[in-house]
Amino acid sequence: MEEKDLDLIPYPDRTTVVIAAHIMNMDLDSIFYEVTEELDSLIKGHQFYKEIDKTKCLAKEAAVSYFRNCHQVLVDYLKNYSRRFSSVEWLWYLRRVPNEVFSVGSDSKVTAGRRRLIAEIISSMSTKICPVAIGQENNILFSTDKEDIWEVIAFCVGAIYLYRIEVKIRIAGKGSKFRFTENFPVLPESLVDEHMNYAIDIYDNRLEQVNFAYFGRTGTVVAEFYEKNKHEKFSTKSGVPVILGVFPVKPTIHETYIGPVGSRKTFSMITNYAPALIALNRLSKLLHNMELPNIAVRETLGALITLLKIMIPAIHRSAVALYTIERTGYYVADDKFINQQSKSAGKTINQELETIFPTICFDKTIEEALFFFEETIEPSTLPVTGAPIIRRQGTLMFIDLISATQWLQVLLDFSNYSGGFARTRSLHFEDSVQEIIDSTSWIPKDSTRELIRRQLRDSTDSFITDIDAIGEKGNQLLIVSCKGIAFSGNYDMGSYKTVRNIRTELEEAAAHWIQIKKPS
Amino acid sequence: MKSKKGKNFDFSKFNKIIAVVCTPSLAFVASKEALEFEEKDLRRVLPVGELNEWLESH
Repeated sequence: MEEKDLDLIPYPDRTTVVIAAHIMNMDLDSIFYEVTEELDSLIKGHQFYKEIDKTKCLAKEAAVSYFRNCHQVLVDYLKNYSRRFSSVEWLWYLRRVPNEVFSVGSDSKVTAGRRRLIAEIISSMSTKICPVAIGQENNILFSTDKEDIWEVIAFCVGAIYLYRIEVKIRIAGKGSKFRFTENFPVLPESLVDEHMNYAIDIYDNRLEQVNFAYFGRTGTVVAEFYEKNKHEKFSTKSGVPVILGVFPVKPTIHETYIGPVGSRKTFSMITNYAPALIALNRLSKLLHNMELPNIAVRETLGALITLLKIMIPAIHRSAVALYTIERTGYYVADDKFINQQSKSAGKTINQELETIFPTICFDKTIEEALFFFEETIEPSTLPVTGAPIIRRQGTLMFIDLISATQWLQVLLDFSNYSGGFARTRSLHFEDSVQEIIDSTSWIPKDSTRELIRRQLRDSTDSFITDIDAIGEKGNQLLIVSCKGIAFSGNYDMGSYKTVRNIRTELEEAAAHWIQIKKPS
Repeated sequence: MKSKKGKNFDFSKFNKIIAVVCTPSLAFVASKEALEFEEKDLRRVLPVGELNEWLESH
């Protein structure tokens, strides 16, 4: 690429182009095979590998145990490898590595996102002190030497290997057996039948289509998304608690701006991350009816919501925040930024949030909240949580808003709640689904709406079914059976029992509807 | 429905009844009944995000 071409790319995007150019000149497949072979040998050197009988099929329990051992070996190896760069350097590099690197051996966008997240989590464990970087604030630059980029790519391949193990743990959770073969001497292949493979493919493909998460661990709908990518309308809606959320999206060319308020310069660039306003009125309604027992969760949630609330006006005021976040998912803050937010927001925001969420602790200033994240957020790769929210470079602080949004979802995990709260959550989900139907052309007429929560009975008074939510359009009637299932970390990790129980409940519900609808 | 009229409901004005099972997030299901399309582009068991999209486009 010519220097004159690079000048056309808004600074610091040229670094992304230089990195991409290095990667284009690399043989990704050969790096993939070289690193994979090294990692295979690493596992082969361990006692658990030598002791396992490779002539027999591995039942699901034995398979999970074996893969967990492999997982630990890889985590230790990658933690050690991560010392080549500091945590801040890793974030900087990884957010500039194109999806193609994480997609080696897979066409799935979901796969790339998950692999990238694993790389970001492990890399955050680096103990290396950050070197002095070139530039300042959001124009930080690190080395783009080819050798350094090779090291980054090799690390990404390690993360891909770790991901492959995680997938096998999840497949074992779906009940599969495994067997070692000539082609799979270290990570045995699963023995799922054709139909199960078909079901897994459908699941993966559907997962690919999900751009914005729905906070499914709550077991209901707590978030409503506004103004996806409409940054010019970044303002709070009166009467509705709105916070910022930042989500990975399929890279698309998108118009953004750079420059101070009043003299913005708009331009188009490839966007990897989409800031969105999230209305939490449904979460507020749910939390009014429950007590969060864990003080640590209440504190961390409070600090997270404060940060994501304060970032809305902060993005609006900043000359570079929106552009940086859309490109990298993080914002680089200095002392001036923190002071400014404390002055402009301060106690007002916390008081407002306390009214909306009375069961959450909002006792921290933004400065205290940022320190709090560093002390309390513990990233994990099994189950996969989020990467750290804060990474430091001298006096600069990388605030990772992708991670903050992921952690909000991780902490809003109500899967362990049962009894009265489970019932409250279930009703909340039914109400939310009905609200969603009501916001479309399927809004039911009053006479149809009357059927909500009614137990339908046939002419002989026998029970048929409950109506949880309902809609109609012309001569079509829509009946929705709502299952307020909270998808826990165990589900995410592929726990066999958890996945099986949820699957059974839903498959029975589907069969039930078919039975009801079948003409007599 | 086996009968569009029961003791406490009357669906006789509707030509078509669409019945789905909705979850907060995408869940793994494998049975034929759960994976089938109840209606074009509308799977019988689906997360609320998919239901929302279908409602907005149909």
